[in-house]
Amino acid sequence: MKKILVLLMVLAVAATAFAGGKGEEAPAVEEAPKKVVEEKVIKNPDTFIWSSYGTVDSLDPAKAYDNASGGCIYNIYETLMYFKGSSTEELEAQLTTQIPSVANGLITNGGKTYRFPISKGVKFHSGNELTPEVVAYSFKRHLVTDPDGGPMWMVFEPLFGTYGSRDGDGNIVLTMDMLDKAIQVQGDSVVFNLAQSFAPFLSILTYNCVSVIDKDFAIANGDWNGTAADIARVNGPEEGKEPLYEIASGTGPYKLARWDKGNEVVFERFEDYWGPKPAIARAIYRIVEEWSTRKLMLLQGDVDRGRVDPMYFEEMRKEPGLKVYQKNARLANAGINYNMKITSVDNPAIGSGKLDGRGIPADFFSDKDVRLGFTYAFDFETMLREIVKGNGIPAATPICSGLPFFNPQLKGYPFDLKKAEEHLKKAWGGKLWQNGFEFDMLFNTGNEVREQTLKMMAENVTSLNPKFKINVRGVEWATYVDMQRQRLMPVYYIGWGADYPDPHNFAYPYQHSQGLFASRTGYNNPEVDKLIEEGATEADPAKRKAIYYKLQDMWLEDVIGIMLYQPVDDFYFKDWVKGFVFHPMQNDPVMFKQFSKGY
Amino acid sequence: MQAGAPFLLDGACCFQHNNPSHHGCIYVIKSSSFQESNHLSLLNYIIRRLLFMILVLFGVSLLVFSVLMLIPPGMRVAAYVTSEKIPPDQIEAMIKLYGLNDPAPVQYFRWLAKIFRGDLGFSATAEAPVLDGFKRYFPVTLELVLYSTPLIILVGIWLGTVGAIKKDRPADHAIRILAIVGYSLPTFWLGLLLLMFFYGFLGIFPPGTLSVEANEVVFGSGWNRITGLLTIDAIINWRWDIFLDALYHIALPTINLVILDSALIMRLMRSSMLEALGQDYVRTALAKGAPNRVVYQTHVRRNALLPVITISGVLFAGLMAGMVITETIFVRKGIGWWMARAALQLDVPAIMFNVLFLGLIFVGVNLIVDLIYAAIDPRVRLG
Repeated sequence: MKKILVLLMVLAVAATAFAGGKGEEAPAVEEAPKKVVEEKVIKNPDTFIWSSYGTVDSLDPAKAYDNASGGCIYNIYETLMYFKGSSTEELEAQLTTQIPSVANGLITNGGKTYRFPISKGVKFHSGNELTPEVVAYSFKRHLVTDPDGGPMWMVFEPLFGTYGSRDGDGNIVLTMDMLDKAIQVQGDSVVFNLAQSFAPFLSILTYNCVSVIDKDFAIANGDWNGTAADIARVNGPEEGKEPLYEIASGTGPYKLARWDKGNEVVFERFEDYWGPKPAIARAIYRIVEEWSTRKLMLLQGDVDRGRVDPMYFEEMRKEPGLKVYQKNARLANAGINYNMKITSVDNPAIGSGKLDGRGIPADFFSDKDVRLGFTYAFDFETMLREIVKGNGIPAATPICSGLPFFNPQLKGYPFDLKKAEEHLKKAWGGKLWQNGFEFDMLFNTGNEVREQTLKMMAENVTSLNPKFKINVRGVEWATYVDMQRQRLMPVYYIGWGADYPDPHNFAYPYQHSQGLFASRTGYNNPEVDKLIEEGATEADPAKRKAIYYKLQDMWLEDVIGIMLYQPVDDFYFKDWVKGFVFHPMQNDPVMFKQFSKGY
Repeated sequence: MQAGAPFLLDGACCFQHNNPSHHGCIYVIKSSSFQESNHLSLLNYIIRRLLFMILVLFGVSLLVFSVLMLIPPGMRVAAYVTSEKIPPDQIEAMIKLYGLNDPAPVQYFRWLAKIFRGDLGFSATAEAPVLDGFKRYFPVTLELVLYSTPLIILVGIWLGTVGAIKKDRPADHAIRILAIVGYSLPTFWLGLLLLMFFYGFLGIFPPGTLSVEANEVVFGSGWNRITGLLTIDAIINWRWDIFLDALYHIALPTINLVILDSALIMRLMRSSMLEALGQDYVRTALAKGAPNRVVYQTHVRRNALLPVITISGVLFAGLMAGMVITETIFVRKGIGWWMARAALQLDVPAIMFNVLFLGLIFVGVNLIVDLIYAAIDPRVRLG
């Protein structure tokens, strides 16, 4: 009897242990139809809680280059102008009274001078007033601060034709003279004098790195005092030592209430905001890393929006009580680049370093037939269907849909194992096919999409010849960063999100020899470099179109890599949330001023 | 029996008796001069242990730092690399800025010099100076430990005792199954299951530390943050609504820890009790008519507690080091969560601080356990 009891208890526990299963839903129990109107209770009616897992790096506009930080900054600070609604081309004025154009005479000097009349009657959270001097100070201050790893390079490029305030040895090359020439106050306007005409300049001025800050507040809290002598003190600060790292006074609809690091950022409605006051009095960006917890909090209504990753879209679309905005295409892409100049010293990823069947040489991918072979062996349809689960738009080149001068007619290379074999047989004069090869493909641990994509690619390539060996392995983030920096990886799985909605922002990193990805892979085509430089400075839209169409063609001709897809995202809110307008470049969190709560 | 004047009778007998030596009871009769010299020896012992602790911490920090220096600077810089968009030249600049390329001894002594100046460095994972990070995360962990540890120990001792006394009966079987299950369950599985049932299904015991409204009070201007422990500070601030709110949020992670960690104490207590119950003096005492309750509780359990004290010390130290999974699932970011992130992202200042902290905890707990041993078992002489 005792033994039977024990056995029954063990079985009961085991049954509970396996009851979780794979998250499949239990068969629905049919209930009798209810006619009672349920009273819908809205939790935290005066507070909007946005939940995700990205940590905030810094609240200093000159430093923030990640989604979470940028999203918080956009709620506190404002730029001179921003995009209208969900448009990536139409701008609306914020702290300026007019968007400059050639037509209204605010862009002159062949596109090298931009004049911004500054709005009046705008207050900062501290109570200080917005003036043209404050705007000019903001820009100069961000350029002077210029922390390592920050986004200021995109402002240096048009203003000075350089990418930072320091040279390769860390010496400051930015002078007060340069700043005063580039940024001037003239009456009630701020005038920018560019080094050369730069077509994306207006787009760049929507990025959070040029947010207008409260000059008096900043200086009172130890920020740059505006003089040449003080530049060295504030330039290139260490992590966490940026003057506006954790304090803020902006003109935005929300002010910073507190930043509980690692947990949440809390915003309070700014009652003296110059524009329409937000409906929600308080907003919170809450960091919840564990998916199951975040899901439960969303379903229970303890957060109003919970970040959902693509692998959970299907299950979440079935959940009740939610408002889902499906399949929103982001201005971003993902791709695989071939490294044509792999660092061969101390590199375990390339094995023997020779084409002897036990490794690959450093210039393995410099042979176009190798690149074509790998490209034809990539099964896009399966990747989109099985790995990305349909949450992606095929992308043929780095310039993605939604950008100006995107060529919708272009198609990437089709999946064709016969053609792949053909090219690999020709590669390296036949030696590759004869001897075989072996190398590693690496992904950062935890990134399932990258892992599965590389595994699929490896499987298809190695199926062509038993002498082909590709080891797909995960490495920790620190190792991944180091290997990228040292150009140790034979192929890079990369992704790029738009800093500003202009094809230059995509063409440069992917195709210019000094761009982030191209420089890592040793790609260098002087004709491409010239086209990219021309495209940035050309003011005529028709000519720009021709340039970027040519660049897209050349991406495919040179087979620098494989563009995979442009991500599409779902957004999941509690059903009482109203007002969400998707923008292809939005951060995470988004601007809270758009939301209200109610049925 | 030692003679001397004046006598102080210490310890306990099985029952009131004029001749305690007949029953082999454990007792000590001490003279006052003997007691004074014992106190001095104890003090010396504690001071020696504390001094030794400093040496241990120094040695541990050197060892860990040496291991960290085996990791190339290009990887150690990853703590500051927040995006794949950062170009290689800027990463090189960061390596230079933080002195990651300097010789290992230079980096170590630079770190040590800062420690002596009270500067523990900046933690990229805490997004704050290390000390500020500690002040933020430690109270969260401490509060959970203070609520869960006594319950873990009490539940474990109680059920272990019951299991031993009622050996091979249904209660014993049930307790053994509970112990096995509790010990075997993965933390993340039980935590998520509890969350899904209580929070997801019943809508009670939400994750986090406080509700939105309570958070506004705690971070508001009228709140005095004395300890950082929400329940304690709530009492100090005389806000019983905040106290109950904090208790409401701490309930589920506490239940999680009690189920998981009392299992080991249960098993240990049970086997320790069974061993003690088999001793001759127990059989004799029971045969002589001593009440069961007195025998079990006053003598057997006291002797059976010794190994449990050791394990409890280890358990306490382990919990203080942080409960990564519990803290992540229940959104209570404490030391464990911070340490895990610091280790994964090679946040060297945070790692070094946590090494010192853990060393302090373990050495401190060992010392306390030794003192408790001496208090419980008069045969134990310290120093």
